[in-house]
Amino acid sequence: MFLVAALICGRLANHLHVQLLEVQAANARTEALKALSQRLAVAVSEGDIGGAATSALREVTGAEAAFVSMQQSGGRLGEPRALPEDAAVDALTRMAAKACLDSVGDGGEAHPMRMDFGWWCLPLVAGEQRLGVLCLRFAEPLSVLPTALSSLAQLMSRSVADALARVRLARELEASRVRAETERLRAALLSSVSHDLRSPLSTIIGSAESLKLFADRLSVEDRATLAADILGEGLRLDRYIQNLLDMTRLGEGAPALPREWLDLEESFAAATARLKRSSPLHTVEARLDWRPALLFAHPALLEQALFNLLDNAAKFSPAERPLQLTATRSDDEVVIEVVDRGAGIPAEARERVFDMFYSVEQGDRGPAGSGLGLTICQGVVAAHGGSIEALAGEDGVGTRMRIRLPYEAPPAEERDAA
Amino acid sequence: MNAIEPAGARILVVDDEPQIRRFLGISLRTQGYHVTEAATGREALEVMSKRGADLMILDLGLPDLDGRDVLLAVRAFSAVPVLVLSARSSETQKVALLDAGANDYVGKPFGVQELSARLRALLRARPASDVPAVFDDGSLRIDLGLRHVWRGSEAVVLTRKEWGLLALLMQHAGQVVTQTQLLRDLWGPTHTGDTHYLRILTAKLRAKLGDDATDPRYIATEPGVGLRFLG
Repeated sequence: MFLVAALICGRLANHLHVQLLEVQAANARTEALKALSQRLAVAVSEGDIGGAATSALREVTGAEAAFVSMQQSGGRLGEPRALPEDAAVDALTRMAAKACLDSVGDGGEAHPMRMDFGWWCLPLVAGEQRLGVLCLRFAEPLSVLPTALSSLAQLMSRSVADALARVRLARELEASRVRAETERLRAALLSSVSHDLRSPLSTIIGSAESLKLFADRLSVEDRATLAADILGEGLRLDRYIQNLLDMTRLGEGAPALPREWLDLEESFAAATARLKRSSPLHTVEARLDWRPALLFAHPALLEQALFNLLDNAAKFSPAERPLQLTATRSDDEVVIEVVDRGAGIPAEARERVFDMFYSVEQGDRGPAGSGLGLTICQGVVAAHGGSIEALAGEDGVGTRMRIRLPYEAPPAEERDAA
Repeated sequence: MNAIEPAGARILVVDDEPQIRRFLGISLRTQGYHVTEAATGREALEVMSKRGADLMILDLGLPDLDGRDVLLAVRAFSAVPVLVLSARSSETQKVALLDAGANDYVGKPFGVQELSARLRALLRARPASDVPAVFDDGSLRIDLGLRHVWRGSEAVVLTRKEWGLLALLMQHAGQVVTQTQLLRDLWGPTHTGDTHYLRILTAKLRAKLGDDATDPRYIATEPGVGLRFLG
């Protein structure tokens, strides 16, 4: 009697224990599912999604997990790619994943499938699109997936597929926006290039032809004027081409700028000397508050940026008012300013002056400019981790261009360096 | 006098663009030089090996040979000063050419005045074994042999490193000396990246010579490439 009671109680307890375990497991799955959807909601890349999905699967099943992404174009699937990039997923796994997704077909149902090499594969499908595969491999190979696990896996794969579709759509929208912007810039570039190359060329061709045709009938002064114009416009063309080259140097995907320790005073000197050649009437008052003004930067591009600022200031400023070129330094920042007493920039246009071809979009008004100069300044400054802004000049007259560059002291000088 | 008098010097112009050879020919002959022209790298090497020249102006973009290879081939048998013409390439490329044996470079497009000044400096340059140069412009006197610098009537005391830098630059007066070379010669091969040493030393030397970085009379900086003694 006692034995029977004990047996019954034992069975009952055992049964309760199993039930308890199942409830606990179900709770754990619900929690894992909740955590997964939270991570998926903030995922911005397929790598994020792959990371979230595989770690959630690993947690609830204890199995090895992999995420393999594929692009579908037309009816065909592209190369299987394991994500995140650093996940160790071998070629056999990717083959199993591809075979799984191939067998699904367009708009097919997404059931877990048992594939070669011991993998269970969950196809990720959203609408008509086949997006990828979640793969599971248990330490002890299973011939049948337990129902609870199977339905959990399907739930998970559905939310992963939705997140994938969302991320891909966002990426495509961004790509088409970039394409449209690139197209717009390319069109603007072409029209700017032809405009800016042709105006000086017209002068060069016209003046040279006049010299050739009328050489003996021209006065000495006229000949000298024509020759000077050819020279001047040739130099202008050269400056413009230099700007175009700098644009490509700073273009997207350009390797990190090679930098070195330079003396900012020398950069000021070089930029000022170039201004003297292009705008002989303007003068520059330069001031630095530390010496030697060491700065870790790309010397040619920094000089170009400084020259562009001076050149721009000179264009809009009366020659009798000197341009101010200053640099001040704190522990972690260098501030370079170019201040002119010219017409100034209306407050609402101060951000747009750095846009590519800004002056071109303004039409032919005002002194000739490519509309690239300030864009290059901004590019150079950004490539050095700094920022540039246009402000009102002294007492609201003219313009103050302010560059901020991060500063770090040079490494301690060798004792006998000097 | 070892230096070749500018007037009468034989200059070989190597460029595949006939227009460039033409205006160089016209302006150089007008200044009294004897000019020979070559349109290809092979032609240039032939002229150099058969007749030689006192100076070679070498364009880098030649149809048959790379300008750098012409430079190396010429260097195999001749120490003739070579002035390289380069369509404005990167500073790294300029440095590579100078390290490969070019004496100086001018970026295309270039002005005739700038080119003429470089030619005169190259033709004036003496071999390093020659008597140490004395520089005197009335306000600054530098005697490299006696290691004396005078600003007006005041003697200037230079440190060992400052002397080293000044001497290196003056031995190549008028020509650019790459900062890699300066760093290697002054601090050693492990310090070629320590460009701040050179900037600090240059600033100190300029201050002692009474030079002004914003408008240098003696030591000019070629951004990203090197330094040039202007004397």
